[in-house]
Amino acid sequence: MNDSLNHDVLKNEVLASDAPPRPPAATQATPSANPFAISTAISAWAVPGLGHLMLHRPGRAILFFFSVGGLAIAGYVLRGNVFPLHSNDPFGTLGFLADAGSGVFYLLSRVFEAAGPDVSRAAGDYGTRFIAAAGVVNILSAFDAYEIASGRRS
Amino acid sequence: MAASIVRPSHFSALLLFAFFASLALGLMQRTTAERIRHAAWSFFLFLAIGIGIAWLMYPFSH
Repeated sequence: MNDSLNHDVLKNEVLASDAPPRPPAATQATPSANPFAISTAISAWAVPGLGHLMLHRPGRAILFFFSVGGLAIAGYVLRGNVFPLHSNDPFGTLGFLADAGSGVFYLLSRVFEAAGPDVSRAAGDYGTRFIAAAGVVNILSAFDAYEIASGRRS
Repeated sequence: MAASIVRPSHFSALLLFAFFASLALGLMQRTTAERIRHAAWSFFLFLAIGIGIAWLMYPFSH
């Protein structure tokens, strides 16, 4: 009896493999078409932790805000270099993209670093890396929020 | 008014960076146990690699 059952299962599998591929179900939403996931990612980028707060994960939201803010403010206190939008140097543009990743903390750089950067000392050089790392970490957190919002992970 | 000058040592700057960066990296894991393990491992690797590279460069400074 088992043999006949296995034979039927095998036959069905062969028939299924011969069938033309089915189009994806219309109800299956692609992640790129999910406006909530996109708005969550943008919010997570603009204010570190806000995306996770929107997803009802307040603990992670606070810790993301604390880690990104800690890196950015430490960088400003160390008087690291903040890259402007317009730069003739490609590395300057990359630096801007990294710095701008910290969202609102990039806009607050003038508040925290009123005296401007000072990279003549090692501390200022460290500060530049701290500020860039804050932006990169925040971009990663925005991707994390996007994946949670689109249902790819918990 | 002169701007305040903060001059941490190389090691304290490394500690500060490793703490914040490993905290954020750990948060991207799925479970609490994985988050703690990943954050601790990242923190250790930041310190170990930083100190290792410092020792590799030490002969060139003399």
